[in-house]
Amino acid sequence: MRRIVICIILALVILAGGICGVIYTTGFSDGLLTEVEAVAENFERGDIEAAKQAFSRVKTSWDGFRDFHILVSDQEHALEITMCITRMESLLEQEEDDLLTECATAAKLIEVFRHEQLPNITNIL
Amino acid sequence: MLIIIIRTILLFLLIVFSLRLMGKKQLGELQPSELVTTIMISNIATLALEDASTPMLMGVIPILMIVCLDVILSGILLKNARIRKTVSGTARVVISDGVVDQAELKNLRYTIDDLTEAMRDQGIFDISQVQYAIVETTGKINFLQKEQPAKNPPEIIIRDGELNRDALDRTPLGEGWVMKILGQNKAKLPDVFLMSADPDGNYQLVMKEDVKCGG
Repeated sequence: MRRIVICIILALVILAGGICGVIYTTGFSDGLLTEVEAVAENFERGDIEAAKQAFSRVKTSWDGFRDFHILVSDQEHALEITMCITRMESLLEQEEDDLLTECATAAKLIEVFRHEQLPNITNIL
Repeated sequence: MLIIIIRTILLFLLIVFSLRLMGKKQLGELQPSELVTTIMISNIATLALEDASTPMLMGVIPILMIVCLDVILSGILLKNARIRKTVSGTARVVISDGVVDQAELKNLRYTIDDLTEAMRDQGIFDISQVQYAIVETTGKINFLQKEQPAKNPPEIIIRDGELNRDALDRTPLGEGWVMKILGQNKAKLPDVFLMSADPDGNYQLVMKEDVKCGG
């Protein structure tokens, strides 16, 4: 009986961990998306300094999140976001217009990343 | 991670019921859920070892979940006879009084070769010597030989407080006899752990451990 109780508790803890993981990653993704959009808006307005500050927040957030990569099912997708952010950094330093395209790409990747963490029918099946 | 947890649960249930659907032949010595647990754990552990880019937690969590599900399912099977019957099935008699039940063999998808092979495995080389053959829920076949002295094998007529009508119908005893015996032993049906009886009325009564028989 005690074994069953322990297993029920363990199963509930695992489920709770999974739910917390989803809440954390979706919340994080929303915040990251906002910052990426801020980079694009500031750059488009010509405010390079503000764009750099927004990008700094993007980079710090993403680098910090990678410590929690165990919460992520799709590691390859996370790697693509990392590479995209790296390209953004380079384009921002050179103040190239391709940065806007890269920001759009990053935004899309983050949206897909967020969607992939959700336990809906499409992702489960 | 929640997706992997949900997939683990769904796949576990799916494989348990798939094995039930395939029948006893595929199982060997294990119950369906035990076989599923063994197969899934070994596969998941292998994947976690082979793919170093995937966090090990993606292997650990499903394994832990499978173990928990197996233990919880075992607990449910212990308490609920109907679910136990659904998940594990019931033992089936394929030879009765020396007569092979061909319809039952066909239902179980056992050939006569499977039957004779199982007989030889238990040292029986003449099918005419077999009084009873029962296919267990694990797929194993057990035989009672005619040479064994005496009697028809007893039937389990009460199991964990529930009357097993199928087994009772295979004896000439009837429910009235069962109630009479319980009354003689001052026992109530829900308090009985096990009662077996043969057609001659010889019985064995085992009460649940937390209950004492009044007789």
